[in-house]
Amino acid sequence: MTMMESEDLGRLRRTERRQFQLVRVSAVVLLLLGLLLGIGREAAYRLQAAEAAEVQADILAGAISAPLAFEDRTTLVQALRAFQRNPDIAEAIVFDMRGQAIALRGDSQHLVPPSEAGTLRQDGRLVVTRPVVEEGVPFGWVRLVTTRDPLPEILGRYLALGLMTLIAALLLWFASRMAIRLEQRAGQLEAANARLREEMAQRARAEEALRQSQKMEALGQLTGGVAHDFNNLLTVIMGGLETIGRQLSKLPGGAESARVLRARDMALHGAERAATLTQRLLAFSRRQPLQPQTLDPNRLVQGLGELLRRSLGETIDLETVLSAGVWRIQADAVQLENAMLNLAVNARDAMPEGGRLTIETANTALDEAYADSVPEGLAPGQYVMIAVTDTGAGMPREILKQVFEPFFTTKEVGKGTGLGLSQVYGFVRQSHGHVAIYSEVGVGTTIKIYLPRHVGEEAEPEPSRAVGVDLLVGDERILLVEDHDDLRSYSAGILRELGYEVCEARDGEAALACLDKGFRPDLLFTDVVLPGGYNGRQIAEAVAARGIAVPVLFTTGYTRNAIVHNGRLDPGVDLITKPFTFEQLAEKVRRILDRPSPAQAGPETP
Amino acid sequence: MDTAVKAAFITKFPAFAQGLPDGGVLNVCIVGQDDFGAAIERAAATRVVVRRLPAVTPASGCHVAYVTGSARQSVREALAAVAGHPVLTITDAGAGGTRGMIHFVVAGERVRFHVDTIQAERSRLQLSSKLLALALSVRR
Repeated sequence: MTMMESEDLGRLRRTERRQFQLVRVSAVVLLLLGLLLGIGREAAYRLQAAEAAEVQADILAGAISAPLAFEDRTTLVQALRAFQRNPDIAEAIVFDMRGQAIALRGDSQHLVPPSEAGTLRQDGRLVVTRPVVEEGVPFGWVRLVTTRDPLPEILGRYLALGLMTLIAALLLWFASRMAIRLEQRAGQLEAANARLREEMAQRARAEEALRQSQKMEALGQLTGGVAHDFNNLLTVIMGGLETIGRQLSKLPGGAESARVLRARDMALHGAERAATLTQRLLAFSRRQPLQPQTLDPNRLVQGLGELLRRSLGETIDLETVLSAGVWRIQADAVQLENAMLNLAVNARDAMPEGGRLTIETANTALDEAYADSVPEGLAPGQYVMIAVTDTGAGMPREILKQVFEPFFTTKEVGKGTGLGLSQVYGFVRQSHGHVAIYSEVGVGTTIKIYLPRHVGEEAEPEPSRAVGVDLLVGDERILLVEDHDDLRSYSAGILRELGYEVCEARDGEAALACLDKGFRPDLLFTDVVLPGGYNGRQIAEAVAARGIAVPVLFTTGYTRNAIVHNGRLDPGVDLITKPFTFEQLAEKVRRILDRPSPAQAGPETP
Repeated sequence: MDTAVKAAFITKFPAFAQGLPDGGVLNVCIVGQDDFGAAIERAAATRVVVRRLPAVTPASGCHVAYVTGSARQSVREALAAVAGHPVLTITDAGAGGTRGMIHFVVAGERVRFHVDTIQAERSRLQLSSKLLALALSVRR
């Protein structure tokens, strides 16, 4: 419901209140009117009754004037008797000029001789005293005492008034009740309205968050796709440049070749930087193959200390607050370090005047309510929090919404790639974690990374052995599957240069054809994503199905589900990330082939 | 006793008669013997002037003439003298049987009266029906 409608509601309520006020006032007026009318009626009735009694008294006076004047007691008494037969008259009394009373009842309370005419009301009775006058000559007084009004008559007289009062009172009561009820209803309605509005606002927020996450998802797909193609190209470029380098080093030195070598180095450097960028893009798109290992977050932060201190410069203090007994996490150490470094660099840029960077670690639990508030989805449970707090400029709300988007940057053109926080976001999301950002303009920014607690066996990281390039040669057979022609020939070139026997295949069919020709590989080196019916994993399975137990080395710049489960590599599966260098490939291949039991290194069937 | 009652009655009759000339004072003329003394004045509720006349004439200015017969004028003569004039004539059974417009009698130890409306009408006097209702008899 909009604000407009809420105003309408308010107006409606006010109108209703006014109407009820009107009803209430009407009822009160009715009540007063009834009272007034009743009083008026009663007064009129009494006046009329008094007048009637006076007329009666005058009639009596006329009737008894002669008997009174001529002392005809018999006639007088008869007249009085006749009068008292009237049911309205309780007593009729005659006084002569001396004040002597002639009454039918001796015990009357109204025998006090009168001095003047008058009408009194005593105990609900009218006492009317009138002179007996004939032709201006007074002969005495008559006094009439009326009977009390019988109860039904009184009731009848007051019934209308009572009824009116009752109706008015009922009306008043009813109106009040209705008013109260309507007020309650209006209150309920208003509450419902408020609830509705709150729900709508909540929904709008949820939709906004969903839109944001969908945008991130779309951006991720886009950047992931671009980065994938880019990676293939970079692999070729870097491979070419390395080959140039190797060939140049065999030629006799000279100024010419030195210049070419320098150019090659510059080109390679540029290509490596481009590779870093595509890595970040992949990280954001969460399609970067992670190699998670069990980590002690405290140790990782401590290990990063020196590097961070160097990146931060002298004006910024680094403080680490590491909680004791922080749980283990399972994450890709290199990517986590990258993320920390990215955060540190952002913090540094937010504090050009210097300041303090605080890194904290702590165990925490995210409950369901919190998890529900995360639109991208988050499992409630135990997490390790790594918080990076700076005392920098902070960010306004509008910017906070966008900071995780790739290529969004507040830095000057050329200064930032806009991929730092994207990498953090993508990496943490891919690691089933959560990033929260809190910022106050002028106070600073805190970014909290939540990574799920790892419970279980600690997989010891494979010790990296420093192997000389000259030891990386071999004569084993390698089945190479790669759909990208340049990349395939690049890889094949490296492998052949190292002495391996290579059967090249551009897809699954071709790979199986190699086997059919009698090629028995010692290693299957395949791209994960392939056109045609087979992807890398399926080729591995097909090879295994033919009874050929062979280790598999996957390569990809872009992995989805083929070998990566939930973005993590299954243990025992080897992967080399595009773009790779001569040395990287040589070392990886040699290491796999040198493993004690290569048969077990095959991909696990799901 | 009867005398006082009669004295009171005499002053009261005019209130029941219409046609008597107006005047602030009620003139009561007594022709003949009476025992009233000042009883009439005492009994009257209005101002009364009692005049004892040997004889009454229409010019005597009487409103009421109590006629018992004097040496100069008998009851009959007195009645005849004012007949046709607005004078309320009262006679008394104690003074003979000749009746004026109102004729006192004592009946059962009470003073009562007869009324003659013919004489009253002849004198253009209207006697109240209330008075007639109390009369022992009414001659019409």
